[in-house]
Amino acid sequence: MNKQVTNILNKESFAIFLRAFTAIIGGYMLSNLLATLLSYLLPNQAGAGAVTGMLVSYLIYAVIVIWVYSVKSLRDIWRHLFIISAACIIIIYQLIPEKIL
Amino acid sequence: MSAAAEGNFRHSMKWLHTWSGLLVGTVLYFMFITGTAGYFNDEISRWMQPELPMVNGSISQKKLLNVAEKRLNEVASESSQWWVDFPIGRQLSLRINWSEKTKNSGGEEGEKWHEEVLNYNTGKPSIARETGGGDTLYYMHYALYYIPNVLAYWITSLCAMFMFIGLITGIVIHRQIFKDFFTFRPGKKQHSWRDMHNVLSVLPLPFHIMITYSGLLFLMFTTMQGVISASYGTGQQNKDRFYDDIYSQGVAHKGAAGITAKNITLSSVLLAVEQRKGENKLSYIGIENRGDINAHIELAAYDYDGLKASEIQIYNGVNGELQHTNKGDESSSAAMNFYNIMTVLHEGDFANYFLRWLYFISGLMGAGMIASGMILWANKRRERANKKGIVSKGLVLVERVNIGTIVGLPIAIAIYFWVNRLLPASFAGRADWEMNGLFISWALMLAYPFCVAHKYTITKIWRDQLIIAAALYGFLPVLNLLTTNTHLGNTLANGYWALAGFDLTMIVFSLCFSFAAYRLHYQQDVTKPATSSLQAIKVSRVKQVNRIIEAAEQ
Repeated sequence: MNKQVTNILNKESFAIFLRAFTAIIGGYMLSNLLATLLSYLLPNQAGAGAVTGMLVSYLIYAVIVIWVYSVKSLRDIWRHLFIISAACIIIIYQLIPEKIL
Repeated sequence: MSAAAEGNFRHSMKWLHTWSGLLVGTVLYFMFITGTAGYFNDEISRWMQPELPMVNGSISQKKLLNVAEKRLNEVASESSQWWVDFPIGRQLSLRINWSEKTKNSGGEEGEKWHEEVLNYNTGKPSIARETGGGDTLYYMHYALYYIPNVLAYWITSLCAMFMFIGLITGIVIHRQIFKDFFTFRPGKKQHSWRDMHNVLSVLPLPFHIMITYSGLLFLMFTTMQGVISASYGTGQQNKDRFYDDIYSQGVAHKGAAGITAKNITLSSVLLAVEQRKGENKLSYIGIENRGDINAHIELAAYDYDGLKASEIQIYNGVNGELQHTNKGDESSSAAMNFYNIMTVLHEGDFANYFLRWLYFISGLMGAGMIASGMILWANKRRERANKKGIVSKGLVLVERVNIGTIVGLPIAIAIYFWVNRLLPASFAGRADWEMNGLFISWALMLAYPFCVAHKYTITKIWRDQLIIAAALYGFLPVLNLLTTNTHLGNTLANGYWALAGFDLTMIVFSLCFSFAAYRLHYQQDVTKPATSSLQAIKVSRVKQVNRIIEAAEQ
């Protein structure tokens, strides 16, 4: 295999790795944030909010993974991931029960 | 969405579907096969302990409880807890459990649990061989083996997530899911595998989605615990607070008061219950805080109302009054209700034998869906590689791992049963060695294609392993005949269906593997393109004839 082909291959496999990383790790983090946000917004009687958040988290996760794979530009994905995550964190920080901090 | 964008979306979903399937296919296949075996865990365990007494039909529970109480008085007169499991439903033995107070060297108090299976007639404990049984097979589908539980939960959850994505993307990439469902093109290699994959995926699709999503939910308190921490804080203590919140505590489970009191016998409660509920209905009965003024007797009937298990009743252990009835629908919230329903559906405890077989077959179809997907991946690329004349390393790897996984794992499970019969009953650590046998033989089967690939074609290696599998499953009932009394001659004649069913199922498996091996015998080897001119002419002629026939049919 000549050098040029190897380079392209490496670039391509790195892109594949990067996208998978974004989907698995980024998706996990954002789904946790959104699920937590949801658990705060719902009535949390007897842990119901937390349970609902967890029940829904896997659906959110799946949607995020599919979204990551359907958008062409990784840069767009990251920008959106960053904006949504930041918004979640800000709202969560406002709502977080004091006793936990 | 424009047509082009839609095409793009479908294309990227196809890519995601293919690669997520390939990446974790082996682990998912393992989870599906062992989990499916778990639907018959009690029957497998029973088969693996042939020394246990064979009993048919119902025996008076009054008599059984007398036997059990007598034995418990002998061996556990000081114990604070007694439990008696009746042989009813799929549970086939009379089991007693009791706790023993222990003190370790540091003076810390603990509890040690004892279990015995009793012979109904003699009242003596039956000594059966040590075995992992069906339960170990079942635990492995989420706890794996050889590695810490929590790590295993993360691995299996991640794979289940891949499966979930695979299902969703699989639906997306199907333009015509219903048309595909009724399409089967046997004899056309590539199409046959695709059709097989489609049928195995679409027909039990509700089952696949239910089992995958509920499987994720089972482990959500581990994998999504960030959500718990966000409301309750981190650490085990806070997590326990969460558990206390979501599981409503039974009010009647009072601790011991430390005041000794004379307790009524279990038999006297049974008598009272039988007068109301009818005879021989109980699944278990037990007493907590035995010998204390706060003693209570807990029991439940073997009965399912839809998905729900029968109510649990708790009686006062001193005067026999009914204290509490737990209807089982006292979930703390709608969310917990949903969670409970999903987990109950996953486990299928409520399923009678008809439903249980349906679960079993659906599970096997799930394994078949994964297996056919893995084969489809390899075959497609093999066809392309043969045309181009370049075979990638990845393709060779997948082709070989596929064999060691798809046939190798069933072989390893057969070895698990063989080791159970061949190791001496008194062999030390035999339960561990049954499992080691499983994993050693699986490793050998995974290695085998790599070792012989320079000599044999892929098709030949497939056939070899299929023949090994067919032989191992086919001779299992014979081995059972040679080493135990619980062979088909005995079990069929006396109607012990749980035991006979195991042997018969093994024969069916053997026939399936034999059929697959037989089919492969007449199949052209895929790894060798039809290069010889004579063969090429033959193939083109067959194609021509086919085309003529098709034209004539239209």
